[in-house]
Amino acid sequence: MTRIFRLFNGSEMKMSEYEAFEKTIIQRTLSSGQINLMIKIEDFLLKTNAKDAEFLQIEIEQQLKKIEFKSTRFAYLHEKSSVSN
Amino acid sequence: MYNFTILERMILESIRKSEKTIEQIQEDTAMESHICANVVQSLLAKSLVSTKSNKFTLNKNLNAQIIEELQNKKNQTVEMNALVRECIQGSLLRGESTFQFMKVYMSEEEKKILNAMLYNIETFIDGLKKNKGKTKDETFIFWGGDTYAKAVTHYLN
Repeated sequence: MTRIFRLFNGSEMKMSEYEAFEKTIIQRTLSSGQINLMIKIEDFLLKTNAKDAEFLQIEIEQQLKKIEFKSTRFAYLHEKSSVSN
Repeated sequence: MYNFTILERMILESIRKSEKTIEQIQEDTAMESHICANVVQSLLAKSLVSTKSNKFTLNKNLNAQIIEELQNKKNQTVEMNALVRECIQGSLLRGESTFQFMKVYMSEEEKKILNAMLYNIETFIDGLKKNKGKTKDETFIFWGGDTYAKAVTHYLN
């Protein structure tokens, strides 16, 4: 906690600290299935060619946009639509 | 790069037919209201559509970069993949009989017969292009075929 307090107050972070924080956050927020998928994606990106990596990137970006569109983040038009209905 | 999804493409196609209010776009596309609103909002932010008296119209003065993004072949491939995947999932996972796939050996003579039939199908479908109706009621039709070796070669490269 002291270390986090120092970081929030502008102290520099060592690479090993960053990696440890990242690992802890990932382990606590993702399921084991999701961690396995992340490892496989990392492995895929290290081994694949540029073309397949680009297709994966577009695919992920489109999936993320679909999730965003399904959320209710943009309230303006939605509210406007609900009012006029 | 602005990656278009099939949702944005569907709404752009709906607005291209005629200018519409948000409710008319919803009715034309059968998209849930908040999803429809989110997609339209995203298109507005990208200046692909504009509003006039509560109606949305296509922006006719798109800059070259956006036109290039709209026509990006890799992005279109992923969009088409999404559509094809949904159709294939319907057949393989949900047991629907909407789409059929077969792998057969054909002699050169049989390939010619198939190509003639496909040509007839294409001519028939071309004739349907003038039909008008709601965007949600348009039907996807895929046709064609390719050799196993060619598909695998492209898959490997």
